[in-house]
Amino acid sequence: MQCEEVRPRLDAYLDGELAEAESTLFRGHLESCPDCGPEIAALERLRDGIRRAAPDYRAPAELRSRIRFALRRETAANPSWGLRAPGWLAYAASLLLAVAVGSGGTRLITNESQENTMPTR
Amino acid sequence: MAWIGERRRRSRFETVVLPHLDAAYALARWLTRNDADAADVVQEACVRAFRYFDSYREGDAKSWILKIVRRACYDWIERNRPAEVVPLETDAGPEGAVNSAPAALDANALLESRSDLRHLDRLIEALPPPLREAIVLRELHELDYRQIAEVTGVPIGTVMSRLHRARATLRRGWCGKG
Repeated sequence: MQCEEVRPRLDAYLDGELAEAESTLFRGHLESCPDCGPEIAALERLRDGIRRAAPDYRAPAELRSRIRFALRRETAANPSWGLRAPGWLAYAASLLLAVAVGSGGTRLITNESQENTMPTR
Repeated sequence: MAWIGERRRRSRFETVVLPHLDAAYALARWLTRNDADAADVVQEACVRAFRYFDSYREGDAKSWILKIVRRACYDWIERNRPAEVVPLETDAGPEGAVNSAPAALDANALLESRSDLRHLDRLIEALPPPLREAIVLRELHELDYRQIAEVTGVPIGTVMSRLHRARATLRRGWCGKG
């Protein structure tokens, strides 16, 4: 492998973005090349430095509760969110209700007529 | 029972988003460079994300929320610190981008830095936002190129060139260590 092939993709190698086979070829070159070897070592030192230098920013504890509160306020301002149902679902529900009422009514009438036609002893 | 639906929706949102709150805050903190501003922006971004939560599909929740937080950060900077605004989706040349860095850090401040690591931290803060967010997403959030492209809305080739330029700038500034 030649330096000209390696140099433009050193960052991708460092970032683990190369395929396994290609990465192995790179490693072989970097271990033996007096120019590219120090270059990748410098990039690795920089990475290590960045990770040690950067403060570990964490969300303050009250942010979580602030967000929960803001979301509750948001849902209160938009009550329609809880009611949202697809049109077909509402249609199906109304049909079901109509059938239930209809059949219940029919049964009432049927029972009534059966009672009326009961033979008397 | 509207309130049950609301509560479920909110609870699902919290399950998806809140595990990434530290990452969201850290990105906002790096972009706004201020604790209180970062918290405000993250809260605003979460409310924004909640409004569009119906469009969220199961998948990479971290990239999804970071993308919204990032957008909220730039909107906030545009409103509150218009002097810092740099074009987001277009890339200037390597020098052009570096020259457009906000003048938040002066040379004296750099010279006064006592430790190398503090110096490096300030160099990262001084990077122009497109380079800063690339290096933060890669090195601190450990996102891969595809995820960084998703969060920042640019092609992978642009992610690669921004990372390369960010590292070159940091190495130049981090005297004697690169």
